Amino acid sequence: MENSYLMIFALLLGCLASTMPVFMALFFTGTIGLVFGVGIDPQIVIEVLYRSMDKFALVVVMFFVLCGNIMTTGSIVEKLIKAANVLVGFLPGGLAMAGILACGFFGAISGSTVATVVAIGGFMIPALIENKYDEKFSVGLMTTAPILGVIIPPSIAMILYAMVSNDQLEALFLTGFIPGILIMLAMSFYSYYVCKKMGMKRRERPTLQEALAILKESAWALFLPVLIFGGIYSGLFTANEAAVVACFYAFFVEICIHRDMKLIDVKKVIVSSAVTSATLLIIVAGASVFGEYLTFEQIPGKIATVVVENISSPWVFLLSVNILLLFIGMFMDIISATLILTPIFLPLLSKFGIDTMHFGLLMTINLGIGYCTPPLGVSLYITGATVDRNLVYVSRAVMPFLLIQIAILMVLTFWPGLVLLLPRLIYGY
Amino acid sequence: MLKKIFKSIDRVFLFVEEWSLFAAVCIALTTAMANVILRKATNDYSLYWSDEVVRKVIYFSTYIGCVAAIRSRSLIRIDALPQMLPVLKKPLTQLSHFAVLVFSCCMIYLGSQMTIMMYQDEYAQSATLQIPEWYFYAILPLMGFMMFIRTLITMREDWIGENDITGGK
Repeated sequence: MENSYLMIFALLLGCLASTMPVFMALFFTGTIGLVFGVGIDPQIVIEVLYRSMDKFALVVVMFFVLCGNIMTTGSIVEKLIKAANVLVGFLPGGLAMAGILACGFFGAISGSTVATVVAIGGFMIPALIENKYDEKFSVGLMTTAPILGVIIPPSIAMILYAMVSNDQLEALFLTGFIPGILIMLAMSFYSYYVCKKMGMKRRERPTLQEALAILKESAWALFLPVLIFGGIYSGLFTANEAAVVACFYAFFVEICIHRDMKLIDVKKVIVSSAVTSATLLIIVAGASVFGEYLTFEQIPGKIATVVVENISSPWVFLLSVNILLLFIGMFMDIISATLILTPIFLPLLSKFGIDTMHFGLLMTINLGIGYCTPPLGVSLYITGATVDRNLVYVSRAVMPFLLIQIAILMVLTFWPGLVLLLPRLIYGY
Repeated sequence: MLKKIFKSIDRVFLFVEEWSLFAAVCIALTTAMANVILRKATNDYSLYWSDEVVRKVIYFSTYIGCVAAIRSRSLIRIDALPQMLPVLKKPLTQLSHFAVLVFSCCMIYLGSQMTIMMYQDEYAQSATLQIPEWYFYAILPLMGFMMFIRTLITMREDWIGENDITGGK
């Protein structure tokens, strides 16, 4: 019997490695497992495909994707970068810090690393190089800072994790703030240190009038994260409602205030967002078929038993999982990995007494770091293309920043109290 | 001749995909927003059918959006192997296309059977709007059919080294 499980997992890995779309790999292996392993009618997969998409919780994914697309089509991103620049740009390494802060701002509205790399990195890397920052430093910074896109809520990976783990989404979102701020601070300190050591010239501090003028110009853009989080945590909106309101607000600002989006662009943005969210959500459907197989065969429970027999300490378990997830993150995108692995890990968490929200955050950071880890992290290729540099160059550039992020990951792994501080304070979790 | 036929099919599909996705998302967005406003403004009145509309739109836009994603080649896949061994890129791409064709056939066959079953069950209706469920199940074989044709077009493009027969990217 165990051999059949191994064959199904080998088939899944083979399908994934053969560049088959992830949802199809999950669909095929799940269906084969259900029909030939469990012996049930193949019609059940149609039912699963239907039911898996018939969930209101998925609305958050679709509308936050739309919100991110509206921002990148219009000028909200540009305004956020300007605001970040006026706030910290005059410090040593200020433009680098502005890039990090802009990733934080963007992450607080969008929920994806790749979107952040494209939107902020594409703009900031040339700006940093133009301002005499070392190219390698600039590339490394803007390849790794966009991890904030998935850590600072709203995060698409967290939304899907909460859906599988049944955690309260609003509380799970709160776990991302402190880690996000820690990463921003650590990367900013490193930038400050490097730029000071290199004797970089500081940019002139803007006058109060200049600063106020830029902040006024960016006020509508800066209000968007306030609207989302203020709305959610004041109890005015649920996360689903906040996503809808954010879309309307972003459309209103871009069309009526900034006037950087024409009505004709609205259709383009909506259709491309629908396609982007379809490519993400279809993996939920595939993962549901595969999940059905796992449930029928009670595989997560069996894996849990084997792991608990061999590992007794929760810390050893978390450390092993960190290494595993960092490795998986290099090959697999965060959405697929979250949907495939969460059902397998969940039974283990209760056995080791690990909080599911703590684990969700660790999983998100691990897989986020995987995005910029050589040799296969997607972000490496995007920034490599931006500056026309090869993979080896970009891989070397990201190393110091990766070490910073991994160090913070270790702190968060062994200090669950810090991760759960905000959910405990606000929701009494 | 074949090029002309594929070009016409591609245009029709593109039109159907774009406008249906646009309309569906607009309906979901407007309905959800109206519900938020009503709930906040009146405290006790809300559109009881709004959640169902949004859920069905997500279902529809995911499966139809997937067909559009075949055209733009944006379905998420793990391309680690061809990156390490570029020589495998072409055979793996063809294998991937073949998998999509098999998936499409599964959807057409299993989806049609399920749609017929739902059509015969007069009580199979959605919870609030009482829409017959077979309408929604029918989206799966429809997706399968559109996906099949789209993949054939994509395979042809790959075969003759053409990027996009309609001239887009």
